[in-house]
Amino acid sequence: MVDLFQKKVLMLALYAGEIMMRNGAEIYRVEDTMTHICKACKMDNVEVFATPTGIFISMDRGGDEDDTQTYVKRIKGISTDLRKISQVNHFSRQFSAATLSVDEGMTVLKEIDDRGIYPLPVRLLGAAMISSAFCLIFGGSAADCCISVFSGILGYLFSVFLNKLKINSFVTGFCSCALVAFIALSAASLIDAATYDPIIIGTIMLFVPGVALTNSIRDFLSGDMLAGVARLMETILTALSLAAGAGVVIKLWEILGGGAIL
Amino acid sequence: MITILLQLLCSLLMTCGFCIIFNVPSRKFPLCCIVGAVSWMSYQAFTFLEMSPVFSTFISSCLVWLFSNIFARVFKETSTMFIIPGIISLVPGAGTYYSMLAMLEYTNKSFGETVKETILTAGAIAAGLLLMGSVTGVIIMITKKINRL
Repeated sequence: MVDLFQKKVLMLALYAGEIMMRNGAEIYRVEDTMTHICKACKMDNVEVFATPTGIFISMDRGGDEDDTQTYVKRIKGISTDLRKISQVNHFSRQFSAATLSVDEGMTVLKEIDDRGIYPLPVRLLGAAMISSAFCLIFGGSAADCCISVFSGILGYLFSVFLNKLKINSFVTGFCSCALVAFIALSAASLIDAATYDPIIIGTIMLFVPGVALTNSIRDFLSGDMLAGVARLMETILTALSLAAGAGVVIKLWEILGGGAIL
Repeated sequence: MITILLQLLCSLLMTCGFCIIFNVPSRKFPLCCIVGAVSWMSYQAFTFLEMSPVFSTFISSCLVWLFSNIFARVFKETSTMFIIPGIISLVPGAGTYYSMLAMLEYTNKSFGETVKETILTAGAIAAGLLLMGSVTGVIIMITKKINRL
């Protein structure tokens, strides 16, 4: 016979873990949050095993005759949303203080999950800020800075578009960097004052795998070797695909005679 | 002096931009900007003192960890929220690009140099976070033991 309350708690903990995992939390935080939620509902035997691609949870009430329930949840499409991580973290604290019922908890989590990110124009402004600032830092002139504003906006817009089409992150990085390199090279050949190096560097920083690198180290630190290795590999592959995207375009430009096409 | 101000302005701008892209709540922007400015300006300061870029990155990433965890404790937030926007300016994007360029030109010597520096810089970020994480872990453990006595 299925224990309905236990099942509800299971789904609640799983949902909380899924939101955190999909938005780029570290493994130990996900496991901690899920365990806290279950323990707050008097489930004494809880084991959670989380990896970046899936969560396994199994639990029972701790008695001799209780049924154990186990659930495997596949995680698809990791992005980064620090607001959701922090809100789920707050939620688990609130829930552990036992002021919420399980059904109320589920509605709160749904609210957190449905809350959107900043609107696209604001994010484009952010992208422009990043690319122009990095362009200046890595030795760009005023003209480079102006061009990198446009290349940042276009590159970010293109990556958002490819993400909408559910294309994997390596191909997205490759294509966006190729586009950015093309913009930078054409700008440099059309405008005398512009050089393409700082423009490309500034815009590459938008796609750099900083989150994966940081998280992989923190996973290693807390002893989750599997997740650490997986994220380290993600970091290396993303960096390679970014470099390859820019490199292919630069080489092609050289072979095809560069500014002669324009 | 003007270059220092410009660097500071740039570091604030880019941290702000990353905060928007990673969807940090707007009330936390100033704190993230402080962490970002600390990371980039300390990196600049140490390279100005003629330390190697790798070592400067190492110290900066230690500082980012320290500031993020202090802010996290004080403001009851997750430390991820401050670490990620803070540390991303140290990630060697320029190094990746230059090593790619060196590979295209096929001058073996400079390729080896740039790749080595890029990998070491990424490793320095990792080492900084690892070191500070282990040290704080040990300190917390010891203080707990002492409190129990």
